Amino acid sequence: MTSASLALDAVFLLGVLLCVKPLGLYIAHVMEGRPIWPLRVGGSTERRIYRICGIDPAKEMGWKQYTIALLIFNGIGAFAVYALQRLQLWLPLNPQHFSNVSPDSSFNTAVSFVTNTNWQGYSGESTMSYLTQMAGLAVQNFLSSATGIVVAIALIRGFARHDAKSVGNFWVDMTRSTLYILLPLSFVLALVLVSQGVVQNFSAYKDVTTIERVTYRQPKVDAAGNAVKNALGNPVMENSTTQAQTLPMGPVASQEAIKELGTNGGGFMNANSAHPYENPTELSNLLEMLALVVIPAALTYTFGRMVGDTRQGWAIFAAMVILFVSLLSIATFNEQRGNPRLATLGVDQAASAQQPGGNMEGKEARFGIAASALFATVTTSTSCGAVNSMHDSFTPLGGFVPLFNMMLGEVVFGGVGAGLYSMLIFAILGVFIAGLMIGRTPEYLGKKIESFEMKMSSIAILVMPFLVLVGTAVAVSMSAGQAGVANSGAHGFSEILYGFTSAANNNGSALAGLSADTPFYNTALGLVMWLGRYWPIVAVLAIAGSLAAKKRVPVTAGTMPTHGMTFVVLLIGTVLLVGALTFVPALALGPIVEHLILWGT
Amino acid sequence: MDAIYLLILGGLYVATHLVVIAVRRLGGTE
Repeated sequence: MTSASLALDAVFLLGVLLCVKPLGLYIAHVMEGRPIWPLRVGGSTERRIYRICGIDPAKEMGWKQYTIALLIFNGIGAFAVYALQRLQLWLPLNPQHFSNVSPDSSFNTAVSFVTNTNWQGYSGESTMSYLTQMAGLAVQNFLSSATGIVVAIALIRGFARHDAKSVGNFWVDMTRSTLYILLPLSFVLALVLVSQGVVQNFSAYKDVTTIERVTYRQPKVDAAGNAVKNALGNPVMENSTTQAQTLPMGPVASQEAIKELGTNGGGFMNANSAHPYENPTELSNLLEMLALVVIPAALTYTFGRMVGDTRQGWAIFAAMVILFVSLLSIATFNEQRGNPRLATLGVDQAASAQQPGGNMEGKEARFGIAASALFATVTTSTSCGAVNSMHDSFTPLGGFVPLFNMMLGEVVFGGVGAGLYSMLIFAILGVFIAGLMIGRTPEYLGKKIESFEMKMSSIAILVMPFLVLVGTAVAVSMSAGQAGVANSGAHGFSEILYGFTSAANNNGSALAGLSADTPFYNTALGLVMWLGRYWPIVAVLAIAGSLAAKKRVPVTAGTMPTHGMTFVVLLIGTVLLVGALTFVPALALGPIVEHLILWGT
Repeated sequence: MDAIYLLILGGLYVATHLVVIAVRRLGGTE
């Protein structure tokens, strides 16, 4: 690792650390409805929303009512996004006259954005109208993030309350998290991004004449527009020359801000945060990475605050940071080390004043190794999926890190809300294992962890690996699944494994070699995204309801402290053991064997 | 094709509701 890498990582972690307490405290105040000035300012708007929607904000909900309200709200969202895509040709704000999106792609995208995955099988700037981008995709960026926050808050209330029948009011929690947390932060970040050069307009795309004439190769097409193929069935290529370039426009900055803050990840452009109109400068890159992490990190403090012991939140945060730094080091080291095949050809891969060195394939020159490896680690430890480099071009072990981050269940900061509630499920599992070892009924935050909580925790943890492993197995054994893979062998397997891991964890990043805009992948990944999102949420909210109803157990000399380093180590061990044991065989077939082939021959 | 995908979407929605009912019967507290 270079000194520049270390400096960037240190600045990033310091930025995160500085945000945790103030933002976490603010979120706690908002979700508890404390009379702080933003709630007083927005109070009339909030009350108007309740009045129009017929919501009684004082009415609390049990976990089942809360869950059903969440499902209805998200279900309506999915149908609305599907309809917008299927009708966009006849709707306004479509200056490029994009045709309606195909049914399978519309299904995939609707589920993708409602579940906070933002997997994109399509190319945004050549598929979606401005109306679809704004009213469909950007709206779901807010609402899916808010959904994650409210589930985490409901679980926190489960720990904080005792002898209670309710976990909050879903509609109030959704309104407050959107109105007071996501909207203001996104507004400020969007303005800052505009200052850096991110575009924000409703103009039609600009056709410009380039200074230099560009010659490129493209597949030859016949009069009907079909690709011409040779006797072997391969496409016939031809040279083409042009001086014309089309520059995409649109309301990018407003979508970019919530894309990062809500850990959504769906880019306005196909190249996502590698595109200069989404992420033009080093400063915008740093801000986007910080935006990805601040809310998930701050929620750990919110958790500690709401359960009445901020040390509990710091313990969770410490476990996240230790895991994050470890995985970031592996990614940065391997990308900086470069490719041994190029070294044998005499290519200089050492970092110097003239070049960043290392494996620069698939990376933007303006970001280099350090900012690309950091972005890749951040985007997969959270559930974002935005990319500023092509993960498909990472070295095998560099690319292993994003994959493994997701396989851990995205608990290293994790998605907005989803990261915290998933980590708390691991904490429940951890104290259960510790309880077994010392022969005591496990307790966490004064609540006895009993059979029902363990059953629900098991469901919440096991749904994801089941979907990943079964989905990958089905895809690799079917011709429709194999058809989308660009590479053969271990890397091809990694592309499919990465796709299902990304979908089941609601991440959304991809190894670019997988051509996923096919009916098979659009349908299969859509199913996996839905089940990977909502089935664990049902289990988590059931745990919240069960915990809220329990009595608080007094702390005794035999109670295991859950705010010290012992608990942090136990939590990290639980996360790693569950993640590693479940996926080691699959990882051995993908990135690990690829690494051995690259370095062993 | 629209009917198929709307049916899948509806099926996923109903299946998740059934999970809520199953979990409640497993012992969840209201």
